[in-house]
Amino acid sequence: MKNTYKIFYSLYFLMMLSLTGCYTVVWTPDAQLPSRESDSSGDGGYYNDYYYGDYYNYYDAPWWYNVNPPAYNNQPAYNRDTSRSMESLRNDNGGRGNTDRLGIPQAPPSTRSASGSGSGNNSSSTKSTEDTGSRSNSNSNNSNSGGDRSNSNNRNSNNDRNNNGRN
Amino acid sequence: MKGFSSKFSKLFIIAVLFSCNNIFAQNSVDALRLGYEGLGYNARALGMGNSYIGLSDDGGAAFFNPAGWGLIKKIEFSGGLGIDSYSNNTQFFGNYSDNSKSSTSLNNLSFALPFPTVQGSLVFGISYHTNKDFNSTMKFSGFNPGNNSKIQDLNSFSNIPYDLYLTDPNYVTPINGRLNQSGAVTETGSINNWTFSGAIEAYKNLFVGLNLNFVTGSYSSNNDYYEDDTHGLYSNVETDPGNANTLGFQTFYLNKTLNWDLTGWNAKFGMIYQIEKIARVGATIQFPKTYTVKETFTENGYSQFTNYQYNLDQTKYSDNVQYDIITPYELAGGFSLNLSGLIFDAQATFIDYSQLKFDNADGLTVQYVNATNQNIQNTLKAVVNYNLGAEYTFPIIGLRLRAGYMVMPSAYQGDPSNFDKKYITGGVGYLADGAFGIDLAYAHGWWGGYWDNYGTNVSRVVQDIKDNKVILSMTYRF
Repeated sequence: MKNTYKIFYSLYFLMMLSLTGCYTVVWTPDAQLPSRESDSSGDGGYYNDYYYGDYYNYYDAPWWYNVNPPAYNNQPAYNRDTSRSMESLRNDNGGRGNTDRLGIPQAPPSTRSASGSGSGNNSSSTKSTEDTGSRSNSNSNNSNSGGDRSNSNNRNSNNDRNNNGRN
Repeated sequence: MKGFSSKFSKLFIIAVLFSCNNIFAQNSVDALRLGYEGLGYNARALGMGNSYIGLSDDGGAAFFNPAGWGLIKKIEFSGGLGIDSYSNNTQFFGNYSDNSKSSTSLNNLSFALPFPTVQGSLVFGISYHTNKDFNSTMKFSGFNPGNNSKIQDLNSFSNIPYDLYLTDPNYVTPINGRLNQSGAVTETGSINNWTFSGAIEAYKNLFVGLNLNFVTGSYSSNNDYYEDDTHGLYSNVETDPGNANTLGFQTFYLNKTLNWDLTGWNAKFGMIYQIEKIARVGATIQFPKTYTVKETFTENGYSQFTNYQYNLDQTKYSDNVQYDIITPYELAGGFSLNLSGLIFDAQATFIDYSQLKFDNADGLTVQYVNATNQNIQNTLKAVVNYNLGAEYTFPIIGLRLRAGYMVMPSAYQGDPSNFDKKYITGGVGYLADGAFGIDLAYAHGWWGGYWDNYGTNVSRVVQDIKDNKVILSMTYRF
């Protein structure tokens, strides 16, 4: 019985040593695994690789240095362009075709080509329509063209959103 | 007055007979059998003279220093084989005998699991290992010219000679020594441990650990003893006058077997402090080990006369008892010095063997247990074991060479220094692919001793013992 008490006291001593002010900090999954570069305590080995060769790794390199941690995103998933992805998912429903196609610019109605030269294919007639109707506009309304550029900038801003999603 | 004396003598004889089982039973030799440390199971450690308290950075931590688990940074599996060869050259009344015995066993399987840490170290380990085997043997034969014999000695406290008709009905025997005495003693068995361990870096470079040890094991001893009238001195004597069957005494044979079934537990606390990359200092406290011994003791024998043989009733001399043997504290300290590829180790262990004791006896009287413990205190002493070792690494080829020396002094007061167990050791290690380590160690030990068949120095076998041990360890880290 006396021995039992001795064991108990030694365990108690060890527990106290472990729990109060213990130096060791155990890794938790929400943190990155320590690497050789990031491990501030990793310099405490006993086997210098110059004198011990492979024994350095054998003794002093923790096994988790060799583990590639899985990519981990600690931001909520819905931060990434929520409305767009939800829309895509919704429009895919029902087997009724991809409604995204509705958003693709369509060729002008055939009535416009009918008011043109009346010959050639649709595309050339479309060009002729633009030529006749908008050349002067493009020359005179730089601000409009500037407005077009700002649209392309909007696409760039989409990239910005993507970046935000990664962060 | 004469009548009173006769009655008193009979009462005395009866009292002795009732206590004879105890006389054959437990003593300091039994306690020391469990008290002496074994050589362990770790090839790297043995190659360095078991000077490992200041190093212990592998599965050997389960035996040497639990804090060493905290130094393991990779998941480790290890296992090993042990081969032991024990030889005993004896001298008995001018005759020399040589006998040897060997054994092979799987002596270690261990596993270490270091937890990933942002800082410091936390490692758990489990190990099954054989830290000690009881493998030994002895043979002797020689003519004892003295007027003494085992028959006479037994007749002073036991009725074995009486039952074998080596005495008359009044316990008087005509046997008066000058017999050829011979015998053999064989011991087998081992102490096996299940060790559960944990270690942590409690402060920067300070590692503490604890081993919880659960023991199983067994021990068996077989002792054959003969006394032969090789000179024909009793060929015309009836040992029981008037009984013609007892004419011409030729041989007295006695066989004793002792079987132990061992269980127990103990704990060891250890610490290691690493001083930069230059040195490590270690210390351990081995708490008293409690072994529960279930003992079966049997005694058999016969007496051979010219025309007749009497056999002993074995059931009359068999015994089943149970008791605890509690070993003393063991305090150990050591260091390891790292000098540019050369590691030098030294350690010392203090053990006060006089604190060995029997306890919780079932089948033994309290008086007997107390008397045995008192005898242990009076005959055993405190000792300090010394271990020295060195290891040099050839970094390019991953080869290591080791050498060591250790001394384990005799626990008996007054024993000469040549009774101290001394071992010189050597070893080699190789690391393949940076992950698979193989280590081989060899230890050669030598010491002296004696065995009294009865009495003190009247039928003494002088022993010159050599012990050779080989351990092969394999370790895989990833």
